[in-house]
Amino acid sequence: MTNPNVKNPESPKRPVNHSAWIGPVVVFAGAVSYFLVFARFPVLRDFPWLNLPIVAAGVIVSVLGVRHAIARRAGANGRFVSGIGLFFSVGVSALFCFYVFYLSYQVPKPTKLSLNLSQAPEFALSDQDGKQVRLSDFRGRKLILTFYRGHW
Amino acid sequence: MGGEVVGISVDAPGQNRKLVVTHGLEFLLLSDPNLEAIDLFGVRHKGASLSGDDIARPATFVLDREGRVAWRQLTDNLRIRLRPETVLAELKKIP
Repeated sequence: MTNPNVKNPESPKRPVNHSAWIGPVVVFAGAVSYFLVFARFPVLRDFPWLNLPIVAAGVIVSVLGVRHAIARRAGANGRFVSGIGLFFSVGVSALFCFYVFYLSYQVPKPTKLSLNLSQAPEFALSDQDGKQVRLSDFRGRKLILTFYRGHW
Repeated sequence: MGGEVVGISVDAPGQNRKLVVTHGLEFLLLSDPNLEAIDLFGVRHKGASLSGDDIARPATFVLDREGRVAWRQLTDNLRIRLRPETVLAELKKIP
């Protein structure tokens, strides 16, 4: 009878391939933390100075994980898992870059009207309490009028 | 300095009310579901909502005491937001 708790002395304990799982985790954390945390800081939001290097580092670690699995002659399982990890890392970092460098630029060009407007046109709209507010109500005061996408 | 802040979007007043309460906003949010003011300022973004409806693009206009446009900012990136200090500096320039 063999005791399953006793390691077979003939198969040396293979070190755990840490980079295979650390890489994808770092990529995921780097991408998600941009939206949850670092987008609150204008300098880190306008260009992801912090998150882009984190994501890139995660991809590199994932590549090392695959190289590790191959170099250490890991079983098919180990190579497969590290490959999935690299696939995940590349996918998530591609989505992140797609958003940062393409999707976020999808704003229409400013219209001539918006660029040439000199006198703000009068309008009347409901405020958050349902009260009608006219632009002319603010006459005599300086006004920051900001249009935003909203939550629709 | 003395300036007022007003936000405009297509959101309903009820939605805006929630936003004001949860974030403790101390300025008005105006509801423009028919894109009336949005079109008067030329800031419609066609089909930009998740359901494909038209909404406002991000844009900021600083108006003087007579309602003239003293400064405007029409960003080319949804991620890059106007910084408060930039607007306040423009506001200060207005007598």
